Amino acid sequence: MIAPILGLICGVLIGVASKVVIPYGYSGYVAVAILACLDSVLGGIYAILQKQFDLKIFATGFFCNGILAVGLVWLGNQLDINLSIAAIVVFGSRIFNNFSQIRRFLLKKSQKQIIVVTEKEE
Amino acid sequence: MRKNHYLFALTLICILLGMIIGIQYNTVKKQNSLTENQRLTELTATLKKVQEEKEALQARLEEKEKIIKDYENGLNFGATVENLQSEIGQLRAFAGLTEVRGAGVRVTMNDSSIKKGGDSNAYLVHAEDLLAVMNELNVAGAEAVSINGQRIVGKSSVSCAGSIVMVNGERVAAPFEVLAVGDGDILQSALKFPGGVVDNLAPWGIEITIKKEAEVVVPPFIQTVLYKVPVLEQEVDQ
Repeated sequence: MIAPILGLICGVLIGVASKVVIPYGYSGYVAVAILACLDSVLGGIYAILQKQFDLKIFATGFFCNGILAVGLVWLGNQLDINLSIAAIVVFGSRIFNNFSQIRRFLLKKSQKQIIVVTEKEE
Repeated sequence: MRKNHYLFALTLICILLGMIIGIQYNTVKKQNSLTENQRLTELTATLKKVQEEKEALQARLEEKEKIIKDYENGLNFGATVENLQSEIGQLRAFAGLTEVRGAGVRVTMNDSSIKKGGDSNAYLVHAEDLLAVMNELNVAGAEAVSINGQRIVGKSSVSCAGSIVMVNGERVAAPFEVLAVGDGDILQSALKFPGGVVDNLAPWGIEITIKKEAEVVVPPFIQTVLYKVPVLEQEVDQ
């Protein structure tokens, strides 16, 4: 479970070190895409814990959510509505949901282990 | 074994996500420094302007002090009278008691010729509309304004009186002609800017034309004002 986190940190370091800068005007899209991708990754972690992980669903979800979010914001810009708020709210709440599910799952798992141990001791 | 496979995919995607986040971090950082730079130039310009203003005020202060000295000394009687006379002239011009000629704009406003139903009052030029035009002109730096020959001064009033409008207590009726002396281009654009006075009146079909002219003649304020109630403040002795 540590590998993805290490990967994330490595990625951030590579990104910062690369000195690549997104052209002005596109950073809003990238911000929303980041949210969508973060949501997908947390969803993926949850699925792995539930042993329901499907690589195809995960990979397509990662890219399609990102593209959809960016597309939505672009459409909003064309129609002069701030649709990025919709994307931020939806993905933000999903991130919180996924995270709380992961947390619960991990807590339950550790509780079970304790129970198993105590049972054995008895 | 299978789980490791998934973890590998997840790690790869995490690296990708991390890279995007890193790049975005770079971008946001750079943009912030850009806006800071903009703010810096803005502040520099403001500082320069304020300094110039200060110098101008300083020069004016010195000038006034010199005049006061002249008065106090009383040595140069002719110069004192001259000073007073020029001051009277300035004050008269400032109070709107003199005719003003110069480049400016001529704004004509007439009641709407279309009557599309609804409240017929909405299609007339109201005192409020005249006030709005007058106010915009003053905001844009008009040096003298008149409405149908009535000079607008500090004591002026523009009020609604049924189908006509009272300006300075005199009845005036449509078509209204507002004259303003000042920078024609600025005055014109002050009225015509999007969402401005002209735009607000346009839906009602009120005919408003703005013409820039090389010379407009704004008449003086002709009524006499008798001050009875207030005790006129004496000028403070220096």
